Amino acid sequence: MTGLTAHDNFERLVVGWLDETAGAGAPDYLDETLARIDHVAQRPAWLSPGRWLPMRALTLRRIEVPRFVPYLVALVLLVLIGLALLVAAGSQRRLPPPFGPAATGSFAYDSGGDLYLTGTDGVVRRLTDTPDRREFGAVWSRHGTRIAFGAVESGSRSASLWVTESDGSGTRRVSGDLELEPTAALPLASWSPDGRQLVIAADQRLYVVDADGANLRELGDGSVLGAEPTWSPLGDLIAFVGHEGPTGEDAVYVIDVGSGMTTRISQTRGGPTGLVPAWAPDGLRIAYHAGPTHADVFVATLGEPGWIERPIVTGSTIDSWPTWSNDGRRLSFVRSTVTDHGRIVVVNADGSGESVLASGTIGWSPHCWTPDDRSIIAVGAEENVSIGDEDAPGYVILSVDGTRAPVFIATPARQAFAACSWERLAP
Amino acid sequence: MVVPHTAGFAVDRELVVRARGGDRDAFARLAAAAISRLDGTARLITHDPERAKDAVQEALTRCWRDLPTLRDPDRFDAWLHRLLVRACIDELRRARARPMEVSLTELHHPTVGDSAAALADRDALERGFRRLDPEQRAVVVLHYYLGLSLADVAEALDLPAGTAKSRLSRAMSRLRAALDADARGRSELMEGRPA
Repeated sequence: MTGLTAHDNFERLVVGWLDETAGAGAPDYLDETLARIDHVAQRPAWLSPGRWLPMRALTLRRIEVPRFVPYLVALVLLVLIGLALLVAAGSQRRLPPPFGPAATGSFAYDSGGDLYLTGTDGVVRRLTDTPDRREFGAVWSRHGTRIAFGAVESGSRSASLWVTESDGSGTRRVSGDLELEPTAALPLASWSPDGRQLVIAADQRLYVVDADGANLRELGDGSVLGAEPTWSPLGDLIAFVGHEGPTGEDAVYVIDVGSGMTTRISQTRGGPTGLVPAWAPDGLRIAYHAGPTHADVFVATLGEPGWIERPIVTGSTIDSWPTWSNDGRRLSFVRSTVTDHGRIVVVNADGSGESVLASGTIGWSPHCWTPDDRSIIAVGAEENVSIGDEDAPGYVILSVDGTRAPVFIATPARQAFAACSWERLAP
Repeated sequence: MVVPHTAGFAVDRELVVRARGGDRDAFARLAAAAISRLDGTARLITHDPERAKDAVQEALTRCWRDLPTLRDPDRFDAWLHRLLVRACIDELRRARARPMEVSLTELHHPTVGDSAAALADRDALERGFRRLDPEQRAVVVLHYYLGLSLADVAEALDLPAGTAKSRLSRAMSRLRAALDADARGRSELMEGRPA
């Protein structure tokens, strides 16, 4: 037996063998690799601001249920049942249509690791209070009955998806063991129009899951890797940002929920500002921003020959985050320059009739229309208050028709990200 | 503890910051500085030069794509290693989905001298290393080839420190067992007994 195999120098033997086997020379594919990367755009920093946030510990805080005197409870229940029977027919909450204009309910957002709802009356309600867990990216279901959100547990770099009823009850984890990117600027999931399913992305693959966490399944064959999925208003397609192979360029794709068939929609390169698709309420048009050196706004329309891409807004400015009004007649986007924070611009669906909304300081990030299409809300700050690239202290509500002055809403932790979602109520 | 030659690699923080801001030249310099050890690491984990190349290219592509999301430039190195290991494991998973040709090498048992014994040790190590699963290989490579501390290995692989330690321990035990088995075979040959 040799001295080495006596294991006196076992580690040294392993290190020597590893060095020999790995080879010492520089590989000859550096230039090839860099040439491939030349066609790849960087994700904007705001896409994963979860990485910029302090991770906090996790465990759900149990809700303390007060003790009741059983007889009193029974009596109260009897009275309530009687009242309920009297008004049942007329009192059931009418649900809004999943797309199109609706009445405006509460605005859901995260700040300081908890979720909040702010109503149109300005009253703030804290939806979660979990000092051991960070919640983010709240998004209302299209009927306004449930809220999906992401959560990051202590010591974890990945997120999971949770669903809660609108009153905060029935909170459950629905993403199984999937490890999701802790993005905070965009919602972690997109609801199906009927509110029964969600689509999420994990490790660049798309998954659909029921709202109760059942039937988690991967979409497609993985030939197109993707992120930022958003469900079509018609329910049959899901748009996402994808790329073919590890070095393929980013483009907007749609995947058929039933068959898994994937189709590339955008032809213009994404450039430095990325691509995030937004469905028009008719389910036949998708808006996104693209461009190799700056961002223009494009709309792809589904017609007889397939999807046709058309530039809607072009120019030398950076025009990003096109977002449809709920009636599908207008688009808004953030216009920014190198030296200036954003301004919200509204155009007709064909790009005409451009108007710049009066604003405070608007962050370069997604924004959203209120369900009644009267206002747009965006991350921002008070006028003349500078904000960093990563976050802003609150939200600015802008009147679309310019009849009301901008309103600034400071969030509890003076920290706001772009994921924003309004509760839709029946008109 | 044996210190590998790759230990102490220093990443230029300024380059990371510039690359994070979209500076492709800065990223090219980072890639040029890292590609040798990335390639070596990937070769060890995948045991295949072509798969190693694919894994390195994917890791660097993801690195460039997602670099703006990296908060702390000082964690660039650990983050890049994590991307690489994940790319290597993805490559191996893809490879498992395809039919694989296995080349069998006839084992010779020549007269055993000191240098031949060293060669035999390395052959045995190679065979033992091939038997490790990719996750175990990754731990061994990060610790003994790249010279990362166990804490850094755990961070790079997104594992609890205890898991990284136990995984390394199991991997090294298997390698030792491979060497022991091989040494017993050589010893029996020298003594004229059948292997």
